[in-house]
Amino acid sequence: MAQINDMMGSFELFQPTELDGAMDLLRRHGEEAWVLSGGMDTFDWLKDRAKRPTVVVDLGGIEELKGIQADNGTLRIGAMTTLTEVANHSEIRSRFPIVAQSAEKVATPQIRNQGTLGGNLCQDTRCWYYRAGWPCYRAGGNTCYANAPGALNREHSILEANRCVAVTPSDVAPTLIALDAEMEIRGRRGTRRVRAEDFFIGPAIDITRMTVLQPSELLTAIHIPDTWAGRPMYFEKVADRKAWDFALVNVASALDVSNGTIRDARIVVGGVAARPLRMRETERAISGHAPNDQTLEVAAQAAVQGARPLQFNEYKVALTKNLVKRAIREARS
Amino acid sequence: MVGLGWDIFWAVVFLGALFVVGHAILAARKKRATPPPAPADPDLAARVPEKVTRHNGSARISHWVLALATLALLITGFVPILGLQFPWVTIHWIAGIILTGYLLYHVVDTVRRGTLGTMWIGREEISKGIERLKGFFSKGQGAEEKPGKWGTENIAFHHVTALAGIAVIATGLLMMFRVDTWFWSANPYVLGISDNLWGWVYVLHGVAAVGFVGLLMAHIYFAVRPDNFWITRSMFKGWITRDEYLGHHDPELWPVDEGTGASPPASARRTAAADRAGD
Repeated sequence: MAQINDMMGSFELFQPTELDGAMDLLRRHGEEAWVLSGGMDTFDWLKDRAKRPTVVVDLGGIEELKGIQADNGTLRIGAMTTLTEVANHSEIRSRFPIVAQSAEKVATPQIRNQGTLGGNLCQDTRCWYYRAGWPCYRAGGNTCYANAPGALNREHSILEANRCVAVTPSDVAPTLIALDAEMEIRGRRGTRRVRAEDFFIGPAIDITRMTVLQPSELLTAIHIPDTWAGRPMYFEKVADRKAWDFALVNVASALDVSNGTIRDARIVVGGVAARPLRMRETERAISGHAPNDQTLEVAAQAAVQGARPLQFNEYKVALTKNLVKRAIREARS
Repeated sequence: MVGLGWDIFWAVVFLGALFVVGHAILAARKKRATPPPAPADPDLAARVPEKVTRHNGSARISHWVLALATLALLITGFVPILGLQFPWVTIHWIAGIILTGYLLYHVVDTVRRGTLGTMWIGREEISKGIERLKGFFSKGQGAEEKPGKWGTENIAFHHVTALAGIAVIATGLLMMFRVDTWFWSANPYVLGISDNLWGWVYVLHGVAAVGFVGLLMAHIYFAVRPDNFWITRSMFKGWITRDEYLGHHDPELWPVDEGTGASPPASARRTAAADRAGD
């Protein structure tokens, strides 16, 4: 069980200034190493002693992981770029406004000044049973304490649960999937690119992790292609508070509409499963149709097909349906 | 306690590899010291058909179903732990259901055919097994007594595998209640089992599963050994040749029908055994 302490356990701190140096450290220390980006999630884990790494690799001094560059229409955002920089970047705001909006919705200005895009995407789930150090499936145990009679599961999953019912906490992740972004990952065998949609994984694939990142791998950058630039898109986050809160459900969409008909669509919902879910059935259901009330109703039904709410989160079904409707109806260029 | 530490997997793989290499070296040494077998008694050979049925069709089909289910279980159980990610849970429990179905079929079929006794290990089988083991480890030719259809080592392997199989099935069926299946929704509190007992269930499942890894290594090793090819072939084609039958088995302990080459029914074998005993 976790202990609520103000003092972290001891660890060896490394502050490399080059990516190669960081990779060397991760290779050397493997699962013992903890990657520190902005530190907004890290210090909770360490102070609560729910994670006890012996080595912490601080990426804060690596300049090549920071900054936003345009290259032939594609935008490359370094993983260590702060959320404030992402939210304020003029090209992001003009071409991919939902990325800026979602970054702007994360927590508070102070946290966004310190928190990074990579950290927001790679952060662990907010399930309090898991974070409190209970020996649940995600922590390597054999029980999901959030899916028990009387368990506090108002914030947990309604879709794709597989033993674990935790949900993805990121606000930016759904927008990147909606825009068909790619994650640049550095590992032992060099650099590889993974589609944002495939970067996040559910418990059916690996119950102890939320992304495809292996212990010695690092998310180095995010590439947003210009495919959806300038097209109608939408982002909305619903949380209990207006600020400094994680999403109960969030939604991102990008549409290709011509002559009043939806030609193509990408709709992604967060907060309903362990990974941001691309609503493929919904996308299929609305393609070729005008975004009228009938289409929206079909889209909403398709979005929650197979939903299995827990004891205290039935509301997420209705919330998801309404957000999906809004993501189609309100999408703007 | 929440489950087995998977480092034990590597320990079992190491021990399995050690056994395979050790056996291969000893068997090669033994082969050099063993002269070719003496030709069989012509009168006896005349009473044995050219092909002797070792595994009938249903036995072969059920063996390969068992093999596929076991492979699927081991791959879906261990490959994700080794780092290759794929949605393994559904495939795992479906393969587990198939393995359970095989076990039920095997028990019913064995009882129906009345062949439970052929898998009995009594004093005689133990002493024969010890003799065969001594013969294997001795430097010289050694006096190796031929077994019936199954040698003591085969029967012992069967029993160890059965034990691991029953453990993995019993614990696996319990664990199935904790995942969503086509038949029910996950219920982690089924049967009111305590967290501590669940820990034991997971540990036992893990122990039996890694045990299967070692058993499978040994099984595949013996199956691909050139000197055992005749047995492996019989699991595909069903038969062994007359020479293989007379060379490796005691016809008194494993009598076959002169016409068809099949084993006579259990009742007939019991009568023949009683005749030999002078009852």
